[in-house]
Amino acid sequence: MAGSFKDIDYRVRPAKSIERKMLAESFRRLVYFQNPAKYTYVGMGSLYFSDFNLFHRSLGFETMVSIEDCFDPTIQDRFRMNVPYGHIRLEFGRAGAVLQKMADWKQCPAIIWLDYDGKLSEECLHDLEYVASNAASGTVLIISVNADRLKLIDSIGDDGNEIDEASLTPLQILERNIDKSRVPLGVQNKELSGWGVAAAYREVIDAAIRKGTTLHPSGNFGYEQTYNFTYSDGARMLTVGGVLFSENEREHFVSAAFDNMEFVRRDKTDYRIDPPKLTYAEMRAINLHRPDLPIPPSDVEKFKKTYRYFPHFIEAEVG
Amino acid sequence: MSVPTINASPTKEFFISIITKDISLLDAIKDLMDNCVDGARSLRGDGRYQGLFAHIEVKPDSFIIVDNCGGISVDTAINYAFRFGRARGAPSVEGSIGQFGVGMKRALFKMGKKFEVKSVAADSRFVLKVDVDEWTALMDENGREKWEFEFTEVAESENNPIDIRSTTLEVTDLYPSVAAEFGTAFFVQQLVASLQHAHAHSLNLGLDIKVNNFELRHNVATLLQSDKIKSIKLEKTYPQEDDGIRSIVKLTIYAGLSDSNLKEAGWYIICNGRQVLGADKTPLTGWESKLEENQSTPAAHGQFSRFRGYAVFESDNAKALPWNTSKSGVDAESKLYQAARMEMVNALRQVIDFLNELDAERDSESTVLKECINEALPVPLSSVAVSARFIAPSRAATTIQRPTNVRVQFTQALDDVEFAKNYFEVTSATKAGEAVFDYFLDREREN
Repeated sequence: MAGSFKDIDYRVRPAKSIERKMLAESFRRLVYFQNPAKYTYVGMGSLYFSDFNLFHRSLGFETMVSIEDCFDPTIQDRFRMNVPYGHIRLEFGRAGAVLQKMADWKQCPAIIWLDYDGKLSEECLHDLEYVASNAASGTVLIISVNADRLKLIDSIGDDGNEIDEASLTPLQILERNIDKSRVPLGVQNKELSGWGVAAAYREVIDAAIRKGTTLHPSGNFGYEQTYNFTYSDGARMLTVGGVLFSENEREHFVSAAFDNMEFVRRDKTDYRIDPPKLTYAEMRAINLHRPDLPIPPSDVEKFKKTYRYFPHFIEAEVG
Repeated sequence: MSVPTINASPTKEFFISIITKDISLLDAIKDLMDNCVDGARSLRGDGRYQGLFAHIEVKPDSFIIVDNCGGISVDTAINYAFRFGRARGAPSVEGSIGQFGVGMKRALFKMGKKFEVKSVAADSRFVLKVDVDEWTALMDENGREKWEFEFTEVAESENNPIDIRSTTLEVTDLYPSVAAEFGTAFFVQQLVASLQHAHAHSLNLGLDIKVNNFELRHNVATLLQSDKIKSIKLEKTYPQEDDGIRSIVKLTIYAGLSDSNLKEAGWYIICNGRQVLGADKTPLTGWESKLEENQSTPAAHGQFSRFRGYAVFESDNAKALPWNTSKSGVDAESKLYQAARMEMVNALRQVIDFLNELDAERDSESTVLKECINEALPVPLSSVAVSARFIAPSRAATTIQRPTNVRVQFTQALDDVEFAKNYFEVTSATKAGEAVFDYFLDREREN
C-alpha cells in the first residue's frame, strides 16, 4: 500500500483511468441526495492525484482530502509539492486514524475511496466498518484492492519465525490475512485462484460494510452496492463500493437509478474493464463506424463498450 | 363444585436462599457500593464528587455502610428499592450501576438476620428495621405469607438540605460463616483491593471511600498535555433499544500519553463509574500483533508503555451498557462495544503512530519529540478538551532544528591520557580529549 507510487505511474493505467471516469459519471446521480459539488471527497491521491484532478474538474468538489500513509518528513514534502489544487488537504497516517481525526465526512455526505492497491487486510475491513458505522446518509464508500494470487501480508508467525508460505493453501493464507470469522462459509481452495480471489474478497468486503451499517448510531442505516469493477493493469484489481444511506432516504437512492448505468453492478457479478490495445487510427476508424476493419472483432466490441471513457495518452515534454 | 387450586406462591425462605445463593460475599458488598456510586452520580452530574463519601465497616458482629450520596426517598423505597425485581415503569436512576433491582436486598439477606436501613432523602426520610426470622414468619389474615415490609419511622413532604441527606445500612446478627470472614484481615484486604479496582474512576473523581477507616486511594488518571501535545477526547452517543426500553449510552474516549509504565499502559473501560477492565493490551481493546512490528521482545512493547486510553460508558439504563452480568468484564459481542472498539482502535493507532516516531527518533541525533514529552504536564481526564485528533509534533519539525553538536566519547590507555593532560596542561581527561581534537583541527583543516 505505502510507497506503491514508486512502482506505478497511475496516469497510464488505462483500466484504472476508465474506472475513474465511470465513477465520476455515476457520482452525478448523487444529486438526489445533495448537490455533488458539496460532497467531501476523501481519497488516496498518491503523488499523481489523478482522481483528485478528474473529480474536481468534472464535479467541482470543494472539500478534498488525500490520505497518505507516510511519516517520513522528506517524502511528505514530496506529496505536498505534487498537490494540484490549493484546496486539497493532505493528511498523513493510517486511513483509520486519519478518518477518526476528520469531522467532514461524518457530518455531511462524502465520497470515500479507500484505494489501497495492496492486499485485503483486516485493517482495510476495519476501515470499511468504521466508515459504514459513522457515515452521513448519501455517502459513497469504495474500496480498491489487489486481488492477485493470495499471499501472506505478514509472513512472521506468532512464534517470531518466518512462515513457509509455499506450505499453505490459499484458504489458509486468507485466514491469516483477515479474521477467520470473515472468510465466506464454504469457500474452497480451488475457488481462491484467478478471479476467484476477487469474488471472495467482494463477499468479505460486502459483509464488512453491512456489519458496519448495523453499528451505525441511527440504527437505521442501509447499504446498496453499485460498483463491482475488476480489471487487470498488470495485477488483478478489484473495486467494490456503493451508497450508504439512512433508510428514510432510500427513495433518493431509488431515484438516482444507478441501475441505468451499464457499468453499475448490484451483486456478485463483476463489471470487467478490459480495454483493447488499439492505435489512434484504429480508434478513429471504430468511432466513425467504418465497416470491415482489419481489427479483431472482440477488440472492436470491447472498445465500443468503453470508448466514452477511453484514455488517450500522449507523450509530451511540458515545461 | 369449585376446582381445587394449588398454592404456588414461593415461601420467603426459598426466595431468600435463591437470591443469595449465587453471589459471593465480596460481590454482595460491591453491589452496595454501586448503589452509593449511583447516588453520587445522580447528585453530581458534573462528576465532581469532592465532599461525598461512602464508608464501610466490616466487623465480626456487624456490617455498616453509610454514605451521603443523596439518600433513598420513601417513594423509591415503597415502589422500587424494596421490591423484589425491578418494577416495570420504575424510574431509572441517572447513570445507574445498581438499579436497586435485587442488589441491596440480596446483600442484606446474604449477611445476617437483622438489618436496618436509615435514609434521609430530599423530600422524605425513613427507618426500616427488619428481623428476617420474624419477617419470614409473617402471615396475612388468610394465612398466606405476607410479602411486605413496614417502616419503623417515616416522614414525607420534607425539604432536606443536601448536607444531611444520607443512607445507612446496618446488618447485625451475622451468619456464622459471614462473621468468620469479616473477622479476617484477608477478607478486608480483598474488599479494599476489589473496590479500589472497580471504583478507580469514582475515586479519581473525588469520592471518599473508606473500609474500616482505611481510605481507599487510587492514582488519579492523567494524560500528558502541553502546547504541543494534546490528547484525544471523543464524545459519542448511541441510542439503544432493548425490550422496548429506549435509552441513550454516552461514550467518552480519552487516549494519549502518560508515564512510561508497561504495567499501567493500555485501555481502561469504565461503565457507569465502575471499571470493568484495566490496563488491557489484548485484541479485545484493539491491540494486535501487527502494532508491534513483528517484534516480540519486551523492548518492542516498551515503546507503547506510555499509551493510556479510557473508554467511559454512561447510561441511565445500566442494562444498555456493554458489561457482562457480573459487571467484571466487557460484553465483547454487544454492538455498542463493537462500535466503541472501532473508535478505540483508531485512537490507539493515532497515538501509536506518534510513539513509533518517538522510537524512531532514538536512532537519530534529534531529541525534539522526547523533549516535548518531558515538557508536557500530567492533567486529569476532566481537564482534557474535546479533540478527535491526537496532536503531537512530527519529526518534520526536527529536520529543521537539526542539532549542531554531537558528543564524542572514547576510551584510551591511562598513560596516554596522562601524557595528553601534561602536554596540554589541563586537569581532566575530558579537557585533554577536547584539546587533542582542537590540535588536530588546527593542523589539518584548511579554514
